Order: sequence, then C-alpha cells, then structure tokens
Amino acid sequence: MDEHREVLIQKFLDGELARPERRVLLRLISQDPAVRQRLDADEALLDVAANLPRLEATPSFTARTLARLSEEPVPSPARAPERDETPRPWMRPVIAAATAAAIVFAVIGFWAGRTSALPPSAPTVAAANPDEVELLVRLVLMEPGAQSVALVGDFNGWDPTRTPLARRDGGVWTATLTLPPGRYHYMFLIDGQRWVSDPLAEETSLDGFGSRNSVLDVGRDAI
Amino acid sequence: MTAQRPDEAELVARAKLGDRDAFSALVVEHASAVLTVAWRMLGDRFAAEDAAQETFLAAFQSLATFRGDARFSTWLYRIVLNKCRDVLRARTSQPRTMDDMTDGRESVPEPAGDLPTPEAQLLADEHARSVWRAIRELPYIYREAFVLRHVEGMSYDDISDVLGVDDGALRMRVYKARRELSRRLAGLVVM
Repeated sequence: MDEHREVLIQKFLDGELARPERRVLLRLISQDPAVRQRLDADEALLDVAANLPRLEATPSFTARTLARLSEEPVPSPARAPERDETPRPWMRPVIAAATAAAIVFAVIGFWAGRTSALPPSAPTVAAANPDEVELLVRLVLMEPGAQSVALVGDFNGWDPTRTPLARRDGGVWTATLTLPPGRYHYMFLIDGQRWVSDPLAEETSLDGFGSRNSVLDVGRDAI
Repeated sequence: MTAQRPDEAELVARAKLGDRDAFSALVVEHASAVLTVAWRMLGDRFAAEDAAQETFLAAFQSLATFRGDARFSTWLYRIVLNKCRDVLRARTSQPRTMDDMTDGRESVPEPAGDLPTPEAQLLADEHARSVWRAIRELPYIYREAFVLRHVEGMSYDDISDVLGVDDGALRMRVYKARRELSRRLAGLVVM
C-alpha cells in the first residue's frame, strides 16, 4: 500500500480522519478489497485489545500495600528523595533567549545575587542553635516578556502560588527566601504555564520525564 | 494537560502534608488501574502486585515532588512503567528484538509463559487470548505505547507525558506495534 493510503488508515484507526480524508478512504475501500480487509482486521484487533479484562485489586492486595506504607516514615516535604520517578512534564522548553539574557545578567555583575553560591554579602540569619540556622537565598531570572514568574520547588511543596518573584527593572525577576541547609529542587513557572529551569543553576537533576530540575545546594559551609 | 479532580487534588495536598489516610485513599482509588497496567506489562499477577506495591511506596516517598501539573494517575503510570521495566530487565539478559523495530531505545524482553490460572479464566475467549499473547511478545517500548493507547484508551498527549517521548515518536511506536500485531495475528482475529 502506498504511503498516503497508509497514513489514511492510521488516522482512521486513531479516529483522526478529517471529513475530506474520510471520503478518500471510503473511495479506496470501494475500489480495493484489500483495503477493506485490512481495516476490518485492524479494527477487530483494536476492539479486542480495548476489551481485554482488567485486573481488580483484591482487598488483600490493598491491605498489604497499606500495611507496607504504614511502615514507611513520612518523608519530609523539603527533603524528597531524588529518584527517577520524580514527576515532571516530559518537555518544558527553556527559552534560549532567556538563557542568554540570564548569562549576560550574571556577567555584568549581579552574580552576587545568585542562588546556590551564596554571595559573601548575602545576609545570613544564624540562630542560637546551629540546627536552626537558616540562610537567605536570592533567586534571579531574566524574563522580560513574562507577566508573572513563580518559584516552585520542594521547599514550597511545588505550589506555584506560594513564592512569586517580584519584577525589577529590565525584566529581571527576583525572589528572596530563607532556607535551612539542604539540597532543593526547583523550577520557574512563567505565566502559570511554562516551566523553565534556572539557566544559572550550577547543578541539575534528572527527572522521570526527560527534563531536568535545577538544584539548589544550601550547604552549611556557606554559613 | 488536564488537572486532577478537585477531590483528588485535595487528597494529594493532604498527603503531601503527611496525612497517611489521604494517601491510603489514593492507593485505594488507583490500585486496580496501577495493578492492571503492571499486569499487562509483566504478564502475571504476582509480579504485577509486587510492581504495583513498589509503585505506591515510591510515590509516597516522592510525593513532595509531585507538582500537580499532571494527573495523579499519569504520575503513577510513569512510576509503575519504570518499575515494570526494571523487573523485565532483571528477568533476563537475552534481549528479544523485532527485526524491523528499532528506534534508538533498547527493547526489554520478557520470558514466555502461560497465563496464571485466574487470568486464563478471564481470557477464556480465544481471540482475546491470542491478542493478549501477541501484545506480550512486543518489545517493551512498543508494548507500553500500544497498551496505553489501545488497551487503556489514553490520549496521545497523556501517553507522551507518561512515557516522556514526543508525539511523533509515540505515534511511530503505536503504528509499529499495530502493524506487528496485525502481522502476527493475520488470520486469527476475525470479525
């Protein structure tokens, strides 16, 4: 079968035929018995596949699973394990222009305001108990065209409403937050829709969806 | 991307704050779906139950990183398919390939075997049994694409999120799976 015919058949099987294409396929079916046989066989196959039996979870399975879960410690929201199951959309385009702009931004002297390398001038808040030390961290993104930018990461439960960035002159967006020492994964959410890695992040981590989160390492040696 | 249902979103939010009861409710809600996908990938109930259980444990531990921009079920599918892939890799080091099916990723094989008794009873229909076995013999990347599309009935968009492949690559996998199944089942599946 020629390529065009094959495309029509595949679109038919996916229920994506446009009306003119449907007319063409109907004509092909009427002219060529092999096309009809092929469609009949493929439709029958997909019909059987769609009606294969499901496996119902038994009460025993559910009980055993819940019992195992009850033995698991409740993970800290800020210290989620780094696994390849980490959920992320599989594709979040990082706008090259934004990256370039951010790099320029760093070169011209604002690097001191960056994130994981805490700047010497960055204020730190030291508590009496060293375990309670928190550090001020400033995150910066150059995104002149954005209407809103949110910082979303495991330190705020991946909640896009909790840490909005403030717009500064020149399309620079900043957020300052206090964090205890630790490793944090995060991304920026532009206009509530577009996920962007931090172009200046010194480290990233793989996720299970083919993209990368930025990693912020707030180490005690930065105190 | 479709958002979660409100009640599920609330359960996820509560679970992320450490509410075990909320996560248990999510397990009950999704247990059969996760188990079924694992069963379709692995071919037997016992391995499927292990994989499904590991899936929920992994989800519980990683819940803080779930951002809620995908369905919770989509996230679980992603995890369970990774678990199944690990199981199949561990089962054998003898890859089975289909001569005309290569798109840059290694296929993950599984050994042939009879269906467990309860499932054989479910699959009493001969045509269904033939289709089931043919699906199980597909290389993993084609099997998962076909199963999610034509057995689970998911949209290409959702499958793209689950598998982490773009639309074109996904459609090619589904197409190749359909053609291979059609070839293998020629003369067996009748109207």
